[in-house]
Amino acid sequence: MIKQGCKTSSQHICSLLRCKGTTASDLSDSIGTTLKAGARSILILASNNDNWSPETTNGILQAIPVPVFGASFPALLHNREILHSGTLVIGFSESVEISIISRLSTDQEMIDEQLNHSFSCKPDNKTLLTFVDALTTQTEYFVDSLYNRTGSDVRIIGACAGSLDFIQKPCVFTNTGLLEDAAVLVQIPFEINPGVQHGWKTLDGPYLVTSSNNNQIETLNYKPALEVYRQALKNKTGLEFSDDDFYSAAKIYPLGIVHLDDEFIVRDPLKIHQQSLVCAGHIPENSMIYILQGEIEELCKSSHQAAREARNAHDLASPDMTPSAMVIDCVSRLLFLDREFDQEIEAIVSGAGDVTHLFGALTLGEILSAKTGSANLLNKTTVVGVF
Amino acid sequence: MDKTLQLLSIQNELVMAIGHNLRLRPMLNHFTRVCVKRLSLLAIHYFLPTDDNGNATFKNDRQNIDLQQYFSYPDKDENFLTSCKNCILTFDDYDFSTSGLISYSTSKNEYIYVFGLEDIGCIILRKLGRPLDDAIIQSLTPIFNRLSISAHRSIEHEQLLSANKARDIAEEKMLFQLDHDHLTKLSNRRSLIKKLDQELSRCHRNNNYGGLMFIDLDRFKTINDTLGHAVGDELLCAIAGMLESAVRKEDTVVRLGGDEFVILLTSIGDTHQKAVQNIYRVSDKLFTLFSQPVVTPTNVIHTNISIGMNTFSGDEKLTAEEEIQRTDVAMYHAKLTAGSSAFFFNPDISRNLQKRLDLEKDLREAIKLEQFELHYQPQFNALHEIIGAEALIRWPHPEHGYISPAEFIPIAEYSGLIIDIGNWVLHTTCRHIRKLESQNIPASFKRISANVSSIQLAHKNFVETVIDSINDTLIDSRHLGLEITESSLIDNIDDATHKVRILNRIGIHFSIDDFGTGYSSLSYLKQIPVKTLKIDQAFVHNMDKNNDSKIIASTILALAKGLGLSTIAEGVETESELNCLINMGCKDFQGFYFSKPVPFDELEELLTTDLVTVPEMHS
Repeated sequence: MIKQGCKTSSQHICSLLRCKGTTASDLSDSIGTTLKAGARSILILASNNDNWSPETTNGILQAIPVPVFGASFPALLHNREILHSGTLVIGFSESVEISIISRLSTDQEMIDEQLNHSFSCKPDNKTLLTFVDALTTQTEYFVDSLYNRTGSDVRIIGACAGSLDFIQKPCVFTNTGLLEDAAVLVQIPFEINPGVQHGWKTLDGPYLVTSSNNNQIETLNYKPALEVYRQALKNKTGLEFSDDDFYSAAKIYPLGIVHLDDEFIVRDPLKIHQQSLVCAGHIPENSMIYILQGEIEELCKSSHQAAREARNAHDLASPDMTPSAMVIDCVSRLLFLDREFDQEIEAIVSGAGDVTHLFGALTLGEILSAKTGSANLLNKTTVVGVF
Repeated sequence: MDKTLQLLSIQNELVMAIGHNLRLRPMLNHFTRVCVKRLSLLAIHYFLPTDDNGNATFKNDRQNIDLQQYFSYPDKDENFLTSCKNCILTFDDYDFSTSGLISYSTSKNEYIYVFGLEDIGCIILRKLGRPLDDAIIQSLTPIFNRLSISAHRSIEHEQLLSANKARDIAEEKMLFQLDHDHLTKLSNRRSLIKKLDQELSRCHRNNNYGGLMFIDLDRFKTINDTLGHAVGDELLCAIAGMLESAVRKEDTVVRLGGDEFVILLTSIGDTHQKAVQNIYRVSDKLFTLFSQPVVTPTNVIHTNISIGMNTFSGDEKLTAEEEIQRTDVAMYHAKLTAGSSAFFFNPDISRNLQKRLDLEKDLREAIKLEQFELHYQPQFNALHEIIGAEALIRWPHPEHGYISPAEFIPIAEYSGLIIDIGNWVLHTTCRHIRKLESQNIPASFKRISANVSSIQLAHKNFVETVIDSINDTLIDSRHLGLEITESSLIDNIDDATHKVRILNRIGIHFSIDDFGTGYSSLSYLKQIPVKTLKIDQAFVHNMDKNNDSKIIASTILALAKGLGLSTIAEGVETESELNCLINMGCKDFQGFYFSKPVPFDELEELLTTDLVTVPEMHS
């Protein structure tokens, strides 16, 4: 059930609406209602199936008198419901600082230059929310540069937007319109307490990435990466797959890049290119990787832990307030869990506890500051922010 | 096995991340991002010795290590200095010749690691949570050694780039200076010659005309002497801008030096007539510009210009130097004849100029050899008693005989020689006064007056020079009079008033010479402590027959009376003129009717013959 108007228990969200339809006037009506509820900034989360385009939205977005930000995703979450279509318009009681970084795929210098010139981190803002077009070619460099600008005092939390057809199109909502190859940075004047878990376990490895090119692993242990991957799955699980059926195996057996503290950054192998594995994110040459495996129970447990972790952090700071929860959950978990995804939602809901609003998106990548400091682009991971 | 592979993996990944970028910051940026991610670090900071421009340099002198934060990731890390300060202080004593480690744990569960980078500086790693394993630390040492080598190479490369850049800038500056005036940044003579040579050839080829304008500021020396060289320089810069604003882009404005400017006008007509018309158009424009005061950053200055003009077609086969010389001659003529005017070159003025240049040369010699003489024209009252005398310079030229002051004084003023001549006049007058002071002369005789030119009066040392002359000759300053013209007062009324006041205070008597010929505004008379107005001889001559002169003289006398000033009429030649003046109330006179100017001996004789015994000159 969509809750309307201000709830006494949640001080940050004053309105959460689901658009009645997919026309410009539906969006305009929802935004109008949200503004009437006293919103001083607006978050728009849209399903790709709603097919918002610059033509239908730009006029509306440009007319919004308060900061607006958001993105479109393969699916949304609202309370216990997965929304494969629909758009959520969320009004915040606080105003926020917005910066837009465009032409992300041009080159790295362009990213740094834009961040230096158009983004200034306010000392009171401790959380930076970001929505990035997932199909830019410099997402990781952008995340690193963002950390470079904010330092460890600001927590970065964000999501990679776009659709599962992997065709780049405008997907980032801003006051200037619906943008492609861009990111919106939102400096939030309150703290979003994060929890993060992926639940994937080691199946085989370690392997040394002996040759890679950005997001393509060319060789593992000096052998063609696809051959190593295929052989490992056959040896460990008996699973064999054809080139055409690669993702049905890869969604179950992703890769994990080892960082020093024995934590994995999960990388989703999306497709093959000749003998290379093409992943959703950079794979550094000479890095050490494992082949991971997922179990329904472990994944759901990890999602619960992520939500619980976030809630505990919130309650430590504000024990008397019923918070809201924002979920950034990788869409590949939905693809892997399929009908069992309801269990993951239940796990998140129960982990988050009693909340005023629970909403979120199923994303093409998750962004979060690590406990050790720097921000990372994550795959196949559940990130929950409680505030 | 996993641990070994992990170490190997880290080492390889980090070594690869050092890369081959020869620019230090990009190289460190790439390496640092990988390192932070791979080692799960919070931040990395580099502390290197830097030069004044913030560029990394080498730590050659161990006694003077001054490590500066050179690069950090993240860039925005407000607390890093506090965190790292202690490390750096301790690290200053560390042996930089080998890489090593000092670690610190803080209350924030933060571990800080410091590694030396050979002679480059040091790198600081910050880690939250768990510390780095010893094995990892050991594996990092060779990586940072490798990083030192790359950084060393990058610094050398950047120093080379900086040296090259500095050399390029110096070369560029040198080339600019070769062709430009350092003060105004206008083209200089060298550049003018080059451009004019090209323009002469082009005009000859295309049957076209070009033009040259030689511009000299009037009274620039006075401005420099009175307001100082800094103001003079400001004025020159302002004028450079004014001249540039008056011409087209394709024309060239040049500063030859001092207050001399040249404008080279290209393609100003295909006939001589058109070229002349166009060059006059530019001169009109310039005179309009200079009719307004020149605004400099610190002053508003009234100045004017004299312009020499010349057209050329290249057909006469004159060199660039010769064309400039011609234009200079025209300017010189404009300056000497009219002032604040423009004059076109013609061969006749060249001949006149040569004569003037010869005279100027002889004047210099005359100063050196003290060829000048002072004659004195006595001044009388209505009772025909001698009351004073005016010192008048005479120059008996060794070849040409006596040369009229009207001929050589303008040249002396233009060349600046008037200062030396004026000083000689002052000193000689004082010497003669001294001589008279020791003799018996009539009680009616009050003083001897010397003429002071406007340039002398404007000179910054004028007051000192007068006082020195008085002190050197030990005369009573009340016996010295100075005659100044109206125009020299008006040129810089404040400065002149100040100087006259000082000298008046020590008893020097000031007269205004040639009164009535200059300015109509008489307000300055109230400000300046002069005692006497000298009625110009132009109004005295034939005044008994010319009613206009009579009226003017009468007005001057009335004015003087009103202001409490005395008057003396110059150029009295006839008894009739004298009577006329007496009838109008004038009391003192000077002129051929009484006496022509005489050498000092004669004056002395005049004063000491057949007169009552008076012990000294009377004040």
